[in-house]
Amino acid sequence: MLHYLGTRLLRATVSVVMVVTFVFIVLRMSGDPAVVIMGADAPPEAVDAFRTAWGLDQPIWVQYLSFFKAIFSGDLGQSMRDGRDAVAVVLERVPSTLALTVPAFLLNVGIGIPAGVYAALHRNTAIDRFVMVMAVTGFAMPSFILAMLLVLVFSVNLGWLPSAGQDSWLNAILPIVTMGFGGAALLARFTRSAMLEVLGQSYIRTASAKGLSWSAVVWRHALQNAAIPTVTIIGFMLGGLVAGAVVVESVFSWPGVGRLLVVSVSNRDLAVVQAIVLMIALTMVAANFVVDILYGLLDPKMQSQTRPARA
Amino acid sequence: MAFVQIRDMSVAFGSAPALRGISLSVERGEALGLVGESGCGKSITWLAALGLLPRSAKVGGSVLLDGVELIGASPSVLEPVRGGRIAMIFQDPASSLNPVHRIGHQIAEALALHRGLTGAPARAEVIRLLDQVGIPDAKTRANAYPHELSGGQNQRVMIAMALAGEPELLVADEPTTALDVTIQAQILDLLGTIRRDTSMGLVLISHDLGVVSETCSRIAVMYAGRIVEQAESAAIFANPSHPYTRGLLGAMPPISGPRQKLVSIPGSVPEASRMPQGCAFAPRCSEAIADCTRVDPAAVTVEANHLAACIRATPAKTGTRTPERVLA
Repeated sequence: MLHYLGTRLLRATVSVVMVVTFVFIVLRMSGDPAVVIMGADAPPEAVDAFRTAWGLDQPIWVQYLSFFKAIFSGDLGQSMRDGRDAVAVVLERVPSTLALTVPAFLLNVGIGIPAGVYAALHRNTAIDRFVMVMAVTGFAMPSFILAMLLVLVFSVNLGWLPSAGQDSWLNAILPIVTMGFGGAALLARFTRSAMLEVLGQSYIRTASAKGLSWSAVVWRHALQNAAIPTVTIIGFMLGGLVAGAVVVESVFSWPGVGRLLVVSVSNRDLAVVQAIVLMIALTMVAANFVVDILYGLLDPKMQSQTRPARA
Repeated sequence: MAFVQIRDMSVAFGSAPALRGISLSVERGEALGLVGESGCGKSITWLAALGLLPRSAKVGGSVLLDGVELIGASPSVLEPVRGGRIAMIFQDPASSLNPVHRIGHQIAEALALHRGLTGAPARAEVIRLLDQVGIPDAKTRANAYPHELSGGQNQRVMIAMALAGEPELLVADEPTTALDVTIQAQILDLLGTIRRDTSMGLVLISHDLGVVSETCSRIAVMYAGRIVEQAESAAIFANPSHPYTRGLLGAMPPISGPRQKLVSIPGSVPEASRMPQGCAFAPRCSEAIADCTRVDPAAVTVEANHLAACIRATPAKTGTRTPERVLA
């Protein structure tokens, strides 16, 4: 198990380095922050001074090396907008984003998994079809369209909920529902097919032939097996939560990390963008790592892969 | 009264009939072989009897276990029967065991259900059962997962699990098909030993007449969802009365004597949804006459305890072929 986790930790580190490198290069290739921040008609001396101050006049590999050195000392640079520490700028937005993503994730899992399991157990009934129609709808509809539909119904027509801002907890409901529904739909779809796959296996027939009641067959023999592929999807969703918040926070003007990212990219506020990307990459990697640990716990084959095979 | 009495059982998936009226009885402690090509309904017969078919299957007829009807019975009737009175093992042992549970745990589950054993006594009984089915180092192996064992060992685990409920009848559905030839013989030997020690009945489902004839005293031959012939094993070999049985025997290599060309049965089993008129075997039968495509023949008695469903079957003549010891 230790070896198993070690390999995965190493792999995770490599992916983080690659993501951060990619973003570093793309951001610097796609626009000059000095021009964006100082304005197109700023005097050339001022622009040059800005470049020198932020080290943008250095060759890109020199910038890259000093950037990496700084990361390891925990310093991700300052926001070019207001000179504050980039990490601090990002961190102050984190609670707002968590206030959306954590309930949304709970909705994903709390609705998606039971709905998928129920649909699989009642295959081809009216309830199964209803769940699948909802799932395909939620899966196919982009979140900003769902967001606008919700605003139209609950803010504009019914007037029950606010459509934007962060004045009270009521503001969080529509964004949470938006993110929760899409993820729940995706998860229901995958859980159902994982469950159907498992229910068709011989060992389920064996368990029934042994004399177990159907509910014992489902609880003791089907669910853990179906959990193995489902956990992969949950891992993807967990990693993608912050990224998914980008769209939803923008639509609902919710001052979280996602909206900060959009603003910072258009401002070419390099340090802030890099800090956010690093954070997103780390959540993805952490989610994958959690998935790998869960795999090891759920699937005994994963553990013995690292042990010498028995004859 | 036979231990299990199947009367006119039929199974259909949608409009396709899988079983077309099976009548079969198994006496207490008897070893019965069920032979036929894949898809002829051998396994479905017993899955249907135990209520293990998907809900989409339409099951008709009657299965009496000691006089109690099983077809359409409620879970409270079926669950104690499954594994407790009639246990079943399957073709592919590797996929028949749950990959995420230790084998000891899977056996203990049956002990808890049918004998109320839990904790240390259950653990001791698991080890005894694994020992009985010939798993070396049973104490350690009880903690193994199915993927850590070989196919033959997994089948032994399946047998141990079946024995856990102390059933009166074991239905072994192609128990050796997925295994190496040497392991096949070991598993068949094991089933024989267990039968001697426990007086448990056995239904051995196989496509291999040789395997069945070695283990079973009586044989039923199935074709396209019907039983076409049933008799004592010796009588099947001595006096095969259905052309299909003769075809199966002709396709079996003799273990002694001069080399001879094996005869195969031409054509293939008809699809369930396109069953021919009259006898289902007629299109492949070299002895078919005009009437064969009109009448689906009922079973006739050719000699005592020997039934054949062929309109040309006649009461016994002297044997044309003597039983031979054959190996799969």
